[in-house]
Amino acid sequence: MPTQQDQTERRKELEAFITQCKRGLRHQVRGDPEPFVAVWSHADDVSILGAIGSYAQGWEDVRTHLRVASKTLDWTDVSVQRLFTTLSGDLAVTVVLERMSNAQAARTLRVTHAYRREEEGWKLILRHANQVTPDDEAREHAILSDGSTEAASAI
Amino acid sequence: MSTLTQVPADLQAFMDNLHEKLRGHATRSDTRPFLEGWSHTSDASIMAAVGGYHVGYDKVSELLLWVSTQLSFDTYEPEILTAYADGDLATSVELEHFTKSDGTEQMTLRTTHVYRREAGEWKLLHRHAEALTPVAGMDSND
Repeated sequence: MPTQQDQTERRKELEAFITQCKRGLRHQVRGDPEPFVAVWSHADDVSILGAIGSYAQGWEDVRTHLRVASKTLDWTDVSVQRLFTTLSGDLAVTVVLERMSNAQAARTLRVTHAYRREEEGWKLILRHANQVTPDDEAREHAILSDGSTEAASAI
Repeated sequence: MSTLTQVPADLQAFMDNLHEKLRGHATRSDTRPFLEGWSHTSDASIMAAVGGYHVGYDKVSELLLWVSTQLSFDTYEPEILTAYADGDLATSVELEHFTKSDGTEQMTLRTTHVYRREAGEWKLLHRHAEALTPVAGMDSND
């Protein structure tokens, strides 16, 4: 059973790692995948459900996905809004919004990340990201505020 | 490196039970039992297939109750791709297949669930789901 001190230390290490992931992401979305590739676990149970659609599992396929995807991206500004973080033992999860823009466009991704503490320290093991649009936000606002019955498939 | 997580027996039982409750939510508009499986805390969150994000159980339940009025699928089949668990926290990545029995409509969601053990009982803490689509043009990927 980890002590309170262990947990505090683990949380500190996790936060440092999340900062490293954010730095990697900024490179990833500007066509330079290697700093983001470097934060991933090389295990065969890693998964990515990226904004492009579909999904990839296992380190080899995830790495290929990241490298191919990065080449097409050119977001110059990235900010991350953390919605929540939870940590237990050697597993942690964050839920965030990633806002990206360049001179021509902008997008917001809603993202769930999972992290695992392995022999070499914390590693990213899951990224689930998809785009959230102003229309999406307006629709949900309508659902929650006035019972709008606009049809949508959502579970 | 192979580190595929063994899901603890109590979590597996919770996930099996949650799948049954989700079936009721998706096919019979019977959402209350599904809501009972959720963490009733202010940090529960949902990123539903409708497209936005909400934090806090009150918002989660309000959205799911509305959603259930819109659903008319006849079957729901979950397919677990992987799961990670340690201590009081766990995550699963799943595909969820929904169909109408007359064959007029089908939908597959790609889903991440996050679970937390609260007062000795597993609860669903976060759901992130949207339609599974083929790989699109790489200009929209991250």
